[in-house]
Amino acid sequence: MQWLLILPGYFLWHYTLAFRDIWHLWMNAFWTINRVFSIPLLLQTLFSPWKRIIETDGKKFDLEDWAGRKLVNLMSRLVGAMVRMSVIVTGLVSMLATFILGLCLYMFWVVAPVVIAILFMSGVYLLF
Amino acid sequence: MNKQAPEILLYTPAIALEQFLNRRWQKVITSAFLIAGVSSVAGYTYSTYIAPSELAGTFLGIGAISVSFLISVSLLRFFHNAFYYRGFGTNEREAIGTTYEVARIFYNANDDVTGAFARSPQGYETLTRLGLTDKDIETFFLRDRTKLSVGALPLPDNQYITFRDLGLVLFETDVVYKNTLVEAGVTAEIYFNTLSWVTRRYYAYKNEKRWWSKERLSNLTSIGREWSYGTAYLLNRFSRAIANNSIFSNLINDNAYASEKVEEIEIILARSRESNVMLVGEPGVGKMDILLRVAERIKRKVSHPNLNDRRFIVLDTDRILAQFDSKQELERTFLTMLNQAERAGNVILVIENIAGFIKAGESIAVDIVALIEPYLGAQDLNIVFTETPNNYHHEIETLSVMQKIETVYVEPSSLLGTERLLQDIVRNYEIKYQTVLTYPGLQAITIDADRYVPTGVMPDKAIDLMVEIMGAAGQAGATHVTEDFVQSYVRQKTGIPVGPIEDTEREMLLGLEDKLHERVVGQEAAITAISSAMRRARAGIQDADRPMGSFLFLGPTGVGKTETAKALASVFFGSENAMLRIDMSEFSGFDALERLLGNSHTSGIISDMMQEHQYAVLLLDEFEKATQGVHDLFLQILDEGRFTDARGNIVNMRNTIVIATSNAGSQFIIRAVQNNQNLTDIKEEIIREIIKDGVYRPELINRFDGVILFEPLGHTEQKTVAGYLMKELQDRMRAKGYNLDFSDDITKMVAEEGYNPEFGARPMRRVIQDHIEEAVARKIIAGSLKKGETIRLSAADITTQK
Repeated sequence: MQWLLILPGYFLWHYTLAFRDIWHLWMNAFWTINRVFSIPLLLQTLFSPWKRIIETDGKKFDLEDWAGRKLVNLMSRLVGAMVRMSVIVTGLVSMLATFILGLCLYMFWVVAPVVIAILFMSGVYLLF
Repeated sequence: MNKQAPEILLYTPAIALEQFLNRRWQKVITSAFLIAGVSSVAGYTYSTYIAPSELAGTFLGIGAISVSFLISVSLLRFFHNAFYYRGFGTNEREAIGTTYEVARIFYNANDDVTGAFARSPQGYETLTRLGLTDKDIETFFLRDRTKLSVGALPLPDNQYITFRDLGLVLFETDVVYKNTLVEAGVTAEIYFNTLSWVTRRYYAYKNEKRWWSKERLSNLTSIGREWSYGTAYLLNRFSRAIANNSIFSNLINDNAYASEKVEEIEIILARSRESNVMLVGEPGVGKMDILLRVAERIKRKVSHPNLNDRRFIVLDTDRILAQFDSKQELERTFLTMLNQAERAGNVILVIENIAGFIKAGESIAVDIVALIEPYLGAQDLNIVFTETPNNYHHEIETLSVMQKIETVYVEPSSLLGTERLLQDIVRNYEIKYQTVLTYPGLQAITIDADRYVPTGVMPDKAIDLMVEIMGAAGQAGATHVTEDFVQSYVRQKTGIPVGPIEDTEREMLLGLEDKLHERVVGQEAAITAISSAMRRARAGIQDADRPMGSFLFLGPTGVGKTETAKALASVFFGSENAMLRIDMSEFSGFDALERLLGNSHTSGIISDMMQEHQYAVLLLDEFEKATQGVHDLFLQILDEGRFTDARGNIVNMRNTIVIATSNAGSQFIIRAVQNNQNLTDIKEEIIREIIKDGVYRPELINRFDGVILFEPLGHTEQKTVAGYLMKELQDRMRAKGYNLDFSDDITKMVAEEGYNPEFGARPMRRVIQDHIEEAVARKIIAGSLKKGETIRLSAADITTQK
């Protein structure tokens, strides 16, 4: 008869401890996204040259060479910034999505038993 | 009533759920409803928009019901996980409580916790790994025993009870349970280690499944970390990522020794300058595994902050050397690589077996060391070198650049470390060969690999042995790999009688004195001392870290010292050939040690001997004549049972009986016997005299298992020896087709003529040769003796000088 304990135990958890458990998962998700997209690091190095590709000055000064190098280095930084920006934006969008999904999950959680019941009953109604 | 008993209430619904629908079925049902739901939606879409039909409503209905079940089962799984992994991360742990496994045992206990423990998956695995069969476990259940209820269990207060804790409490509390195990040969230590093994295994299993934990999620690769560092294009072409191999992937975080080394390396690498490491260790000790662990830790960001984003690149020196075989090319390429590595800013360059690389460079006049040197001080580049101890000591240690490189030694793993490692990797083989490795079996593999596998280092040789044994067990259809199985395998493989003593050997050991006396005349005290030392060794009660036996034989020449060693080799190791003999008088010069231990070009005499037959008697004749250095070497051998030869190889002598013979003190012994003194009484005095004369130092004498005094032969013994020698001659002649018959007075004559106090019985052979063989030879040559005939000799036929 122990299985009779399952449902009461479940509902007790569903409306108490489960909220804390979901919170943990939610925070883990934020932590992971922040890590995968390395947002802080990319912000810090936003304008660093792309993969450290830079031209260093030669021994003899030559205006044309100098300008050329500056241009290459500027390009390297610009390319770097653009690619990094896109990743940062993707990361931020993922965070926002996670935030919204989390809120939705909480809302769904509260009404989940009702949703299940409605789905089941409408299914039965549709079939018979 | 203990404080943990109420925990069951907390877990009850989840456990009840699992018993109603176990985790596997939960998963299967989820998938089934998911498939049903998706198919219904597809069906609905099809019958509504593509080929409209009346089925649309039915599909929608099935879909709705499937989804309602899908959500229900998913919620239940979430619910079950919440308890199944409860307390898993230490930070989520309450102060008092139990793990899910323990609660489940309590739940099933019905006032018999031990029973529920033994029937639980973990408990059953523990008992199986302890070597108990299903029948043993059944017998235990049937025994008359007092059953323990959960409330009555003396659980430690204020503690989080894990499976291991419960197992320990039961061992201490349930007398019948403990007795059952003790009768099966399980000691408290074996029990504890087995419990720990099973507990750790389940922990690892759960950790593997818990993909949403921070620990697991941190393994995801980050995007963009590399973009702020340069790319070493050329280097990337001639390198490989630090490889994952079977050993490392299973090394667990609490392997204390590895952790210590990892930390040591991290500290060096994290320095701002001259942060280079020379890793020195035998092949197979796991040098790369330790680096791989550093790499993992860097990736997980738990290493030193300075090392964040660093990556290991292992230089493929073979390919570089193959492709660039001219001086200019190699120099240019190698410099470019180093440059790129430095520019990249996050490279830890690994160069394996650096001595070999340097040598290969030298052969085309490239000075690799000079090329590397400027980069050893670079801020943004770490270089890690690896080398074996021998090459390191001979080629690398003295280089001046070593000032910029920190050396880290990686020792072969300890027995306990090896055991842990085997525990972590054996599961794959258990599944492959359908057999279970018991803990005593695992312990035997570790010890036997250490003792009886002469080549290789730990843990490598233990892993090899384990893989072989698991395969053999699979072929033999053995369900359990027990200690006996391991030992009989090792016995078969090495010919060394390890493991349980068998009947024939038992008889041999118990009758060792008689066996030795078949060849050695007299010397009662000596034979008794040797025999009991040998029995101690085979019973396994002797110190395992020393040679199997070690004796110093003192006494005059020709009284049976060598013969005793030979007899021991033949009785104990089955053949007289198992006696290795070194004449120590040849090792009195300045090159004595080098000849024994070898040098970088040639191997040493003693290492060669031991590589071939380590299970043997090593006889060191005239030991006192060897140099002080040689004595010191044996001091170490007698103490540790092994030594390191000139090439850095560790040579095992723990399966060897070492016998040193010496004439030192003979005069005392002869005098004592002449004065009718008992040798045992004056033994101490004789030893003192020898030490006083400076022949041996006291610490050396004390290292021997026994100092055995051989006394001069008495008249009866002299005659017995003469009898043996005559019998030998008789046998030799029989082999040639002649029968020799001799009277008793001949034996007496040989004994009298052939014995003298200084050389003992040694001249007897000479007497036989000079007189008796001579007489026989005359007869044969004169033709008075034909094959098949019998020659009769008496003292009258023999002419002696006397």
